[in-house]
Amino acid sequence: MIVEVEHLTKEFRRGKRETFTAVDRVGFSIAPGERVAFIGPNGAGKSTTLKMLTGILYPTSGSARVAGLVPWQERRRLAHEIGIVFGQRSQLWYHLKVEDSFELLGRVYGLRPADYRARAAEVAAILRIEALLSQRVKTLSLGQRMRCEIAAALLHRPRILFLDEPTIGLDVTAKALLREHLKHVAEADDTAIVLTSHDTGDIEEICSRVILVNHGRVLLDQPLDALRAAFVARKRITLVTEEQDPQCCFADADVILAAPHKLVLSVDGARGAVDRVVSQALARYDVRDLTIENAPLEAIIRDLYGGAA
Amino acid sequence: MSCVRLGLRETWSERPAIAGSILTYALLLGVWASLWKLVPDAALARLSLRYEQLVWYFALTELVPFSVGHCYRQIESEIQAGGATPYLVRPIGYTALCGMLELGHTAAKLAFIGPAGCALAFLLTGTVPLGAAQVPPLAVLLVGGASIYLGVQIMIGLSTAWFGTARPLFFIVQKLVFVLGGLIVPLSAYPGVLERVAWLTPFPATLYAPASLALEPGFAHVGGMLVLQAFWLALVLAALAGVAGAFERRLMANGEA
Repeated sequence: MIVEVEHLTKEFRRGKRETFTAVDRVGFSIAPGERVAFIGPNGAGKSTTLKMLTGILYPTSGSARVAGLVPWQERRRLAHEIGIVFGQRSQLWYHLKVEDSFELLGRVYGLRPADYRARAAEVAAILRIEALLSQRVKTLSLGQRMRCEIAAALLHRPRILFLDEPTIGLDVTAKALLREHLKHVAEADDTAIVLTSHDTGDIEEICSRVILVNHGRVLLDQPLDALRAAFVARKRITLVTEEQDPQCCFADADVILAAPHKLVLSVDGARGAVDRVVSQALARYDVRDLTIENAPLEAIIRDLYGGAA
Repeated sequence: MSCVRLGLRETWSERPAIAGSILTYALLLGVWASLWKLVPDAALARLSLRYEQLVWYFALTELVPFSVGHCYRQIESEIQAGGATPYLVRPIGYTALCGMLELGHTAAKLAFIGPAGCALAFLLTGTVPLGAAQVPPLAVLLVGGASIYLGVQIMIGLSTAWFGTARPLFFIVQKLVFVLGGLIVPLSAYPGVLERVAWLTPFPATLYAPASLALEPGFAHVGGMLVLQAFWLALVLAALAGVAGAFERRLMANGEA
């Protein structure tokens, strides 16, 4: 395993007597090349856990090994094995050109000049940032900067990549491009990924496993497919009606959206409610269009957050 | 060397700022040269000084603060924004990397402002108090003085982790550097008590040490100044290492500064 965490705990002091437990006996393992979404509502303990795994923060108790190293004890050695991208903080030097930042990082990580040049060209090609290398970081758009940040984190061929909200603030196109690049990079180098994100698109496109935390504890740890299967019983039925104001009155359905000529319902398919709801809708309204689909991952996670609160 | 090269490149790209620095430097030098011109030669002679020496002295002391700039501000704002934390996950720590980059900037600015300053001093005085043999030790002393001042500023910047801001501390230290370092008047002209107090601090090693070659270019004096700087540079680096270690431990205990 490339990451092994056991009973990891972090308490912060509030004032002289009060302590706050941000991470409470968290435990999990990650295999080489695995891509894991580490999710939870705000204040769940995600960032605190990541900081301990990257050696930035001492734990209060418990153990962890990342790439065979204890993060907070062997931080400098661990730095060669991990890459980190913070969505909201840049690791590049604002006033330097991208290529200068890369060159400096190459020196920081002890890459030989020939190895650095080859690797920089390789990641630049994968992330399609060749044209950005000669520009100053401060002139880049957010999407361009994030691609450069990821390239910078990959220069030293880390075995594991920690991504903290990598697509935050990006538009739809930039997000899609970045996700594609991340998948490609992870597959090319068999790099494990640990991703924190509030964007379910990131989770669906990049990861194969979900670890959900809240109040500092792991509440759920499942492959993404298993998560979907466990919640696929919830169906979403969308009705487009001739009636302008379809009144909702279904015993087996929850109304998600009621709009002129439109009704969106959430139904528990496991209990055979879909048939009943569809029959009732067809009998009650003049239905112009009807769609039945699985509940989106976003709704699943929202329900999980709500259940975990 | 990468950092020095980057510093040179980045400083060259900010030529308007360098030009502004040189203009400000020239203005200050011109003002003080005019003031020294008003002092009777006899009065200066009582302090064993001449007008030409004072102008060159000030030209050299000013090179240090102009080259180092206010790098503590960058450190302060990075710590306040949480920007120092990502450096913990790199093989080279925040302080070391910051220091090397700033050393590169300082060396580059010295390379630009130094010759301009010396040219201005020559234009104002018509003399050059140093021979070719003194130029290399002068360059070493200027870099040494700037390095000590840089180390002090980095420590001031890191103090943001404890105090929330570095500016009050910087203002106090800056004035101490100027007064106890002999920015305008050589320490030899100070009242006895003040001079003795100054020599107990690192500040003469920053400004007075390189500039004093305009007063005493002899090799015995040069050697003495080099030893003085080496001593204080070692102390400042040791103190900086201690502060940097405490800074990183604070980050790792709390996750943020």
